[in-house]
Amino acid sequence: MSILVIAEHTAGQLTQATLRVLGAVSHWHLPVHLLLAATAEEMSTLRQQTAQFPFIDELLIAESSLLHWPEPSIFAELLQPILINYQAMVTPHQLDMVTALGLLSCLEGSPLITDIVSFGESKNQQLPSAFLTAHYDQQAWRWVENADHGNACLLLTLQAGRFALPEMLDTRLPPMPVQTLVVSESPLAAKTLNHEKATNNSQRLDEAKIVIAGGRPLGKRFMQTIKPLASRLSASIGATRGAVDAGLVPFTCQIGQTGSHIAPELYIAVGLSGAPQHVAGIGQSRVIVAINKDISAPICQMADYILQGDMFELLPQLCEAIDHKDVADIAELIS
Amino acid sequence: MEGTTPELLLQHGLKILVLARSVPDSNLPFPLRQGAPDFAAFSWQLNPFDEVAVEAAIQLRQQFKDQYPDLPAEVVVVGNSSSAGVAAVERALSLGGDRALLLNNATEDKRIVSDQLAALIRDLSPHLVLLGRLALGEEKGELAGQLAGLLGWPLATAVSELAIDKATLNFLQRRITQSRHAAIAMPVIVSAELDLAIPRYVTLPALVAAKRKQKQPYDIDITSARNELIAKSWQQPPSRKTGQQVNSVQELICRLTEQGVQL
Repeated sequence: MSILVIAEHTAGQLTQATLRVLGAVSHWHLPVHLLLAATAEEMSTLRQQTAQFPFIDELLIAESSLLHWPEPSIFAELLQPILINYQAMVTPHQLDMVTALGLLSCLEGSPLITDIVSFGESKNQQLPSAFLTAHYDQQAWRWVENADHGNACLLLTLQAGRFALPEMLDTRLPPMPVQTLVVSESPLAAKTLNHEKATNNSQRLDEAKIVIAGGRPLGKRFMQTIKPLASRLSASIGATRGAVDAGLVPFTCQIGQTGSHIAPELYIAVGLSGAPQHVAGIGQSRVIVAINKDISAPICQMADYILQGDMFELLPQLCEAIDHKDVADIAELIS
Repeated sequence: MEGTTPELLLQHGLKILVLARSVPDSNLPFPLRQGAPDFAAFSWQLNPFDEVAVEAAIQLRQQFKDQYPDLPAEVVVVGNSSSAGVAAVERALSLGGDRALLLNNATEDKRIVSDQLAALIRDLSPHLVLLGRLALGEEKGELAGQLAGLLGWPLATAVSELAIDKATLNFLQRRITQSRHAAIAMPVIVSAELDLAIPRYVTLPALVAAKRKQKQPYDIDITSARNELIAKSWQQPPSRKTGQQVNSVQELICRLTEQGVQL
């Protein structure tokens, strides 16, 4: 029996989260199949990427213009007939897929485990004996034992930021076996009237390497303060719920329980206190920097580096220092 | 009566069912006792996503009433009969819900919760079921899918705009990289994104009226046949250590470079 990983992708690119999930399931030493469900134009670039990936034993291809949107009912109907071939189906924890797997779990009575952050020991060529899942966001974790479900296929969503990015090969692998799935129109799916790709700031927050977020105190100067630093670091811009509710930035920038969960290398928190609702979304960041006037703010309790002072002065200073850093580096190289 | 005959589906009026679930207040520190949530110390509130769903339901009811003044239109709130659940339901009623049904689901088994809800929906046969796209910390978006699966109904996930047009529902979905307008046939399950509506300010008279609105227990005995793995012991997540204070932006850049962060 094998594992099916359902790929998540944006604009013809596999997401980091998908790669991390592939890395995580490779520890179970079971055959791994990867499902690519996409439109024809996205499929060619997606297939190229899988050639650099060592852990995939078979590719499943579902190609249809219906897949321009992650419609839960279409995904559930696509997966239902192949459910019996797998021990588990695994995918990054992401809203539309959680709903799709919820739907699937009721069609076939398969157990669903969401938001997995870690798993217990796995004996040779078996699924792990238990899964650690996040509850109340990052604030309490709970073990779910993998027992008493007969031979039903497990449906799992992984909090991808908790798992390491696996190494890609430099060389290309020989072509792997390919299975083609037929995508059929579902009477339960919605009809798209008008589809738009977002243009501005279309880098996904949850995929960004560096994220800079601000809070309500930035006020009308939010963008003019944050943007220069963000463009220098090619960072994504995030915000607290307070800043979004105040209309300073669009809703898609929101980080926390009610917005995106981020997993960057570097997270810079500017002028935000670190309410539990916000902090729930940043726990997977590798390095956290807090720039704040008040060092007793909760965000400073969990930051790796704290810079105390006025954000309106410190951010331009930081931009300048970064500009000069390059000059200093070159000077160092020459001498 | 010109132009006031609705589609066959809505000829006897509009019925909207909306969930009101209670969740721990996310503005307060989360109470833990030995790594497990200290449920007794929780301060509960109406799930913010459900609050938005209730407001959206009230607005749809108003639009329908404006269009067909002779037809009935009601918003039924469904909640839980625990004290936190009743408080959440009363909040939903004060926003404008017409009446409430209280399920007795003091169980950790989530299958029973979804099966009970599905049975209740079948019984009431509303045209539209609205719920938040998740319940903070308690449910992560699977419930909408499960209800659609159990009922065999169409489903619209995390919508940002809603309008009824004859027997179909037009909606807008926004994701980080794309967005779309789409249409779906009723009856339908709809989960609400946070920007679907802005919950109205609740006045004192509305609060008093909510206390008097009908809150009826709704008992169903259900044992689920579906498989589910039961969660067991709790574990406290690792907490981050407090770091060090740096004195200048230059020092910050030095420290970050030491950490291997590519600036």
